[in-house]
Amino acid sequence: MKKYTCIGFLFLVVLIMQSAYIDSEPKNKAELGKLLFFDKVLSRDRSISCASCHQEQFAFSDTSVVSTGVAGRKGKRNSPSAMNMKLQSHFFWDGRAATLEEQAVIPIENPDEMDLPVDSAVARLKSMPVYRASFQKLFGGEPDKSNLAIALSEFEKTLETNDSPLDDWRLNDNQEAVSESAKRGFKLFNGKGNCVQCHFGADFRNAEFRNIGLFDGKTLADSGRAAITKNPADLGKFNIGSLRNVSLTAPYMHNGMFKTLKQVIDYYNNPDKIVANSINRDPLLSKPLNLTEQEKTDLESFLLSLTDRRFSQSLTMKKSRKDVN
Amino acid sequence: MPDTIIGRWQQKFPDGNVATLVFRTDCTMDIFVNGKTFVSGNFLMKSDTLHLSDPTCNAAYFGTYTLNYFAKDSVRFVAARDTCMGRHQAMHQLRMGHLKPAGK
Repeated sequence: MKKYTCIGFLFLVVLIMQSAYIDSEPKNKAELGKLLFFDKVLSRDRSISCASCHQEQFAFSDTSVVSTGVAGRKGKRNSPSAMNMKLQSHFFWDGRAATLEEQAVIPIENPDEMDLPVDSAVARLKSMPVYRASFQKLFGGEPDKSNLAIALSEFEKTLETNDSPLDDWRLNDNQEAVSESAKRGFKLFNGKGNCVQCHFGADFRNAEFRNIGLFDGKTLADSGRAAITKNPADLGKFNIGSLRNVSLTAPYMHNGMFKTLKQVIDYYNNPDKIVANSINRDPLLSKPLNLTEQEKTDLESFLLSLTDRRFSQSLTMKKSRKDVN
Repeated sequence: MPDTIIGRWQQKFPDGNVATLVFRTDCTMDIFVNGKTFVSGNFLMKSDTLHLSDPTCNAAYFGTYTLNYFAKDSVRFVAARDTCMGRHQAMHQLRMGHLKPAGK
């Protein structure tokens, strides 16, 4: 009798587990992409996932200067936010990928990141019933490089944010949505600060590459876009990052050299003061902006107003920590 | 048929993106893409001609568009003169439907 009770109990556990599995079965390609994004199976030693370097609470970016890959290896550049990429036309700091699908699988193979040949990743997925069934259902076939890339990119396309205080102010004419300081900052952003010349459009970025002066060929030697195009005119140029949720994505720039937005604003205010002998710096940054301390604060307030409401709690906590310190 | 550009206008594009234009009585205007603030600027209306400026093109320069109202609730922007290529490309022949007040 005891034996039958045990078998009955086991049967019940299996049934519960199965129903839990069915509930979590991805219903569409984006949900499958989400599962993959958070799954460590896509790294050589199964120690990291895409989400290890693109953490949700930091707007899918990383707080380290450069992220840590498998076996403790360090990346070469700061991990950008994986959000708001739907309208983007180049990916990675040097723009080496032209589509989100192309971008999605590159970190899997990168030796400093997940270090797993895509063929091996696909073989792993094929061997897992969960993925095998999901790919069959959603793509009508086994996992392969192409549908793996599509699934990951479909998930990334869901990471759009359009509910920031700034959007509320402008779209709904809600004057209370942002502070007076942020409103002044918006004016500075569009005027004296010159920021809008590079950061414009729905995500406050631009399809161009620019050299903001963080290349001197010595201590700052990442040639950026030029390494891809082999064009000397592209020396030190990098993709222009989105400013949406920028309050959460520190440290900043391709090399993560600025820890705070204040440091970023100080840099743009007078680049020569921070990097004296930059090469090929954009003419837009040829003269100091001569911002007052109040104007710098206003610009920072504006940048904070680009934080989506889904992150407002994180921002409040961050502010409280800052106040305590 | 609407007799003023003041208000909210919207267009859904075949690729799924949605553009919204807001023209206010204080002569400020905003453009949104998928609910995201895209650009903010100023405008002037003279008869059926719209003069438009924004900081991405040069806040001091006004591009000129003729407005052709059609159907009961739609408008077409036709460039008369705009040297700002990006804006010209986006606005010329753009058709928008009028949104009723209230709501995002």
